[in-house]
Amino acid sequence: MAPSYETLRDENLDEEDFDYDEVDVSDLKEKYEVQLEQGYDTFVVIDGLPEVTEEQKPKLVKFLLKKLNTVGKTSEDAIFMPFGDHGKSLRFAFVEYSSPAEAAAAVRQLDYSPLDKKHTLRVNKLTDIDRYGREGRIDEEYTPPTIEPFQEKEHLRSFMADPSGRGRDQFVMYRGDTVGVFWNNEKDQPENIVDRPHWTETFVQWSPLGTYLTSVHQQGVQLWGGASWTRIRRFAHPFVNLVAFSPNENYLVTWSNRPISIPDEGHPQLSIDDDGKNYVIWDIETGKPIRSFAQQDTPAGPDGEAKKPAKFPWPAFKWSADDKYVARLNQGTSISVYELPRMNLLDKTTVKLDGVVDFDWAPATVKREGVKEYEQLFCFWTPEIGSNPARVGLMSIPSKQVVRSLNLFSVSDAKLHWQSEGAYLCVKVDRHSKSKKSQATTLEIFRIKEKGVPVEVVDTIKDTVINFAWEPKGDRFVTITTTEPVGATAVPPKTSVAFFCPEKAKGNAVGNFKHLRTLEKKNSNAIYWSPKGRFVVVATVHNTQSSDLDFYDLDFEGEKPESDKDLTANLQLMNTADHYGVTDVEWDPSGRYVATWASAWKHAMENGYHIYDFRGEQLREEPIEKFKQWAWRPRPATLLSKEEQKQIRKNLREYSRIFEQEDAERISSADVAVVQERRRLLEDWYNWREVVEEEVAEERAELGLPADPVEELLKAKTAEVAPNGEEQVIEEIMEEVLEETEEIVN
Amino acid sequence: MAAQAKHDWADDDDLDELTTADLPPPQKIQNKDGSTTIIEYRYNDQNQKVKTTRRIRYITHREVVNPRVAERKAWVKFGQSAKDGAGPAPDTTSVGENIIFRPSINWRKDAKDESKDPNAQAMKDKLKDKKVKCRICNGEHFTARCPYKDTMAPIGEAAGADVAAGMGDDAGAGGAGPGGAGAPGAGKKGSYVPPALRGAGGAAGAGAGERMGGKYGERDDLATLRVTNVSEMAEENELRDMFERFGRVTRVFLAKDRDTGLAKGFAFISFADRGDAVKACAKMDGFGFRHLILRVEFAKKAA
Amino acid sequence: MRPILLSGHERALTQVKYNREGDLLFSTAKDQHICAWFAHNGERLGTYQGHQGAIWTVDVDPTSTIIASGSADNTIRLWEVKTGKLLKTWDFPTAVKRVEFNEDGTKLLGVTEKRMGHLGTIVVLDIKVDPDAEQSDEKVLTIVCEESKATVAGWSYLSKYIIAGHEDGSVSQYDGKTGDLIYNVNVHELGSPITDLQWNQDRTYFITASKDKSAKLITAKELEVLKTYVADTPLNSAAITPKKEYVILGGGQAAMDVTTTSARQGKFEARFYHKIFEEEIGRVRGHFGPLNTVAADPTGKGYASGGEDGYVRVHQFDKGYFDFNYEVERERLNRLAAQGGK
Repeated sequence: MAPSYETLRDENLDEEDFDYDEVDVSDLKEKYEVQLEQGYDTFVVIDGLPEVTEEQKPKLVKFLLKKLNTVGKTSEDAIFMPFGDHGKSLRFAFVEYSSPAEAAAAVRQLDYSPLDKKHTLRVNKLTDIDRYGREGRIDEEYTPPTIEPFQEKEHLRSFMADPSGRGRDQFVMYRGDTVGVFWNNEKDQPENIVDRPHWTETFVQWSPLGTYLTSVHQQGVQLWGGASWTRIRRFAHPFVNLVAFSPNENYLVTWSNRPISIPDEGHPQLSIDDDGKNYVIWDIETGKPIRSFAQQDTPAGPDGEAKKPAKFPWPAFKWSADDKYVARLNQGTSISVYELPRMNLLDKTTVKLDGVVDFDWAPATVKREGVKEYEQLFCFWTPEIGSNPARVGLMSIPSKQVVRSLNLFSVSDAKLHWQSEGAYLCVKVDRHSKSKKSQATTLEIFRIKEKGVPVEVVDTIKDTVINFAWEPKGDRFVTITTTEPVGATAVPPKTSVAFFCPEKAKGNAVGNFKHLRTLEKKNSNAIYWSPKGRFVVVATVHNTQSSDLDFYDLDFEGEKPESDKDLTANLQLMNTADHYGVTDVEWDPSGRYVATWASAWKHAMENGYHIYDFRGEQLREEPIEKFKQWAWRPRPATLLSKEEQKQIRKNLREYSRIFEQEDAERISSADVAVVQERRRLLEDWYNWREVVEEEVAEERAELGLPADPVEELLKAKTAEVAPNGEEQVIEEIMEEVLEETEEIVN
Repeated sequence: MAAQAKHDWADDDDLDELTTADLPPPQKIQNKDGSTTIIEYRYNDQNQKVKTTRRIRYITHREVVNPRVAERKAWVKFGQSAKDGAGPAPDTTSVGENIIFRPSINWRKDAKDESKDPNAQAMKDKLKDKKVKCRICNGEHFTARCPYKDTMAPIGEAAGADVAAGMGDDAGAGGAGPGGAGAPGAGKKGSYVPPALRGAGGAAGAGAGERMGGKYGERDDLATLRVTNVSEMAEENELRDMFERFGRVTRVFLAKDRDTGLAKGFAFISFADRGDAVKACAKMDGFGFRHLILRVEFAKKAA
Repeated sequence: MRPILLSGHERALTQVKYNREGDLLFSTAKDQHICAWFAHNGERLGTYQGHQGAIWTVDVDPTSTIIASGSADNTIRLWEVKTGKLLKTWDFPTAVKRVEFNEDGTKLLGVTEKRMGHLGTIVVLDIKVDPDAEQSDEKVLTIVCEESKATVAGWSYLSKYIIAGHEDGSVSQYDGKTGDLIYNVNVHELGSPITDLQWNQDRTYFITASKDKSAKLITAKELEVLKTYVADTPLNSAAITPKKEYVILGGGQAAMDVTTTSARQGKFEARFYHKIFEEEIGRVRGHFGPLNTVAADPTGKGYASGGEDGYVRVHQFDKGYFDFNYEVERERLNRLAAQGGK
């Protein structure tokens, strides 16, 4: 019963006897006591303060506070300035911030900041001082840091040596959740080198020289390579979306749609400076970030609204051919060129080009006639602004000199196409008529190597060019044109494929570009040149109704028709193949094979790949569910000198003979292996049958059942039907008529 | 006429006896290859003496007859077949087209190789003939791709012959073809040429083709079938496969709508051998292909 | 070979079955009657009328006296083969998807469907192979499939085991007398139902077909997977050919499952694989819809297939089929012939 007032006894009211101290409330204390901030992460120590007296102290504190409050929250009470016996301050103070992050910020920003003319503040984290300053924490003796024993790294280029000696190329396939790297076995099953599930989260990418395989994850990007496919590097750019390499594999650019946010604990690779940025440029060799950049806001268009670019421009940071420079387009204003390895702006300033909308570096270092200094070239173009015509320019870095400029009129759009060696630049200009009603296209071709960079105009094209491709290492190109603009029509309009090549000219000069052939009423929309030139595949991709692949040879060694005798190409269609639902086409780096595949990222019908040889003969097809990506492994540039290459070409016949012999041996040995395997399977099967039949017969006998369970029943049945019971064998002599004729006689 | 023995009436015993049958008696002659020739005489309805010569082979046909199976064969029909007579009822049973089923280790490759070659050849031929000229309107495109093709398409044979002419083996034939068509095309360039006139050119072209390359000579109307009521989803190689059974198909022309790529409902199949075409016509007429029944007949000549 | 087309059904075929001697062929479809045909020439013997729902399955006893059928009208019916007379009807709570006689025709198993409130089961009935005899109503054995419903089932040699294929892709082995579960093995891809289960001649091994585009050859005793045959389309049926060491697979994606009108998505072919080497050796086209069922003539002379298009196609093999041998098979045959000659 609860005590009520009446029942309260006097003893209980007697307070003097009650000793509170005896009551043990330690457990309650533990539970409910507010924990004071453990740790000293919020404290900083400020040194280098002027000596002040007790009276001057408040003034100093106020002055200090103003500075300290710029990085975080602190207050007078949180500043403890100890005084010595001599009545003066000891020239340092302890300051408490409201959070460890602020303390860290204070250290970062205020350390070495001047207080006044004579004093420079030193700010350190209390924990640091504790760690380093306390006696006994740091050894007095200097011990040199231990260097880890040298670990031999794997040869990153081991993939170039095909163990089978056939010089096969590798490729990677991403299907379902598994990524695998294989040797190309032409008709046969590709030989697997490594196959790992969940190797990547979104996609895989090779580095430009084939050294690394890049896998993309939520936390960042990883590079794999070497014979055992270990992880070489890791670049932790959280939520990375896209990755680009520099041409010589020295640097890496990663981009994420989400700005980086560095958590309080810090980040293993990125620092607080990278917070809020979208792009990071990394040094591959050391794995360290060099610099990071934020996303640019697209500048407001003439109407005053910000226009979003139709397609996200990637790569946003473009590399020069030798990895010395990287540049970024500032839409409409300038191009920022950075020097590597320091990543500082070239000459500390951007290159101002009013209205610039696009630029592109030459893919190789070009040797221009009459130019002795080192240079890297890029081209850019600016559209018409007001009364100023559109301009295409060629700029040399580092001189920043515009070595060639071209004015154009009535330009609606332009696209820049470099030839693979930088020898030619084609600017595809979409022109409109004065009334803006009709569209035409011209191709302005810059001959970079010749003196003065002459420009040739090819203006025979009446329709819109939707695709263009230079021959790698060559001087011919293919265009695809269509009569109607690519709109949202249900049926994509018919396209025409046109081949161009230079005319024959005297000596070493390259003649003017002339139209070679146009094939009309086609459905093609994509051009894929062989990396060595000469062969090209013109394909129809992403088209559910037609999916043909035309294989052409531009140096056909047969007859050349009369009309082409002045041209430097002999076009011949070698074969047309069909791959239903093809979405991508890629040549292997040696130019011997073409892989075509239907990616599950685009549609889900009949995913898988086909392999063709360069003539268009299909070697292999394999349908694979959830086939996502195929990529040939690129090869680094050959190490052979020009003389050595010539030698090999001379002795090609010798080599061919040897290779053919090897191939024949291999095929026959494969057959032998197969036959032996089959023999074994057959033997095993029949042995097993024997065993089983014996077993069952035994069991049947044990159970007392007859050998054929139905025999008795059938016998009974037969008895009903045919009293003799036996199966009858009927022999009939029949006439088989071979020939018959009739005639009337008298 | 098979070999007959020399029956010398002089050997007949009874010369005077007028045999009621002045029909000579039947004869059996053993031939060298093991077969037997039987010669019989009879009178037909017009009272003419008919001599029947038959070459046969005697074979012993052994059949192991399971008495139970034999018994079942004699059972009375019931259910929905109660009213059926003996033998298979036509409303339930029919014989399908002949399928060549030969298992093989590389069956897939073999099947592909068969279909590949004619296509590859056709492509090579198309591009060899550089002077691409349409016979309908003299434009720089293939006749099959002509914008006026629609107005002329139903007269397929001429097109067939035209293509044959156009795809001559060498430039010569190619020259003859367009040349041949050029004549009918005479008059205004690009004007509509009535099939009658065009057919003449086509025939000339076909003739030219025949002179040049023997194999093209056979690709004429006598071995070309017109297949109608073809499903719009049909494809050329499917048709080729279906007709390939009867013999070598030299050309398949499936009329397609230019814009959508769907079949317009008819096709022309040219055989190398007319006999094959006859067989195909007989077998494929009425063949159910997808949801439609095909109609197969010989393609009529133009005019 | 010239296939004989049998059009005795208005709806899609569900099963075709040869009798032991190979001269009769029975076909069932989603329309409500069973057809009996002479396999040799396609002449129809008759039809068995009486079911009131789609008929899913049929089996004939080894003496070809009686046939049993299972239907969506929740019954198993027994008929006299010769006359078409209905001999017996057994009722069940749900549809019957598969019936099979044991090797001497004295027992019949039935697989019942899983519905609301009822789990899928396998029932065993005692049969007297005599058209005039009174058949027992008693369900001698009822096996309840707790985990995954059985889709197909059959009797092994000596009626020792009942082997069942399930909806989840697993195969179970039950004791033929007591119904106890002995083994259950995940044979096919999880979640891909087993669509067919057919035996070899002595019922010591069987072949399963599944929607996971593969068929497997499995031993009855240990449920060991001996061979796997990979196709590029979901399979509805698989059969083992006697005389030659081949298997026949039938399947195809139904029109409504195909999202495009591409003709290539059809694949309505019966596929022949070498049983021992697991390699595809040929295909036979002809059906206008997916193949729902295939059956091999026990005399080895041909095969029959029933399709979604309502046709049954009966084929007799040519010389080319019998002459085909792998190099190693020819070796073996020569070796055996030489030994036999001695």
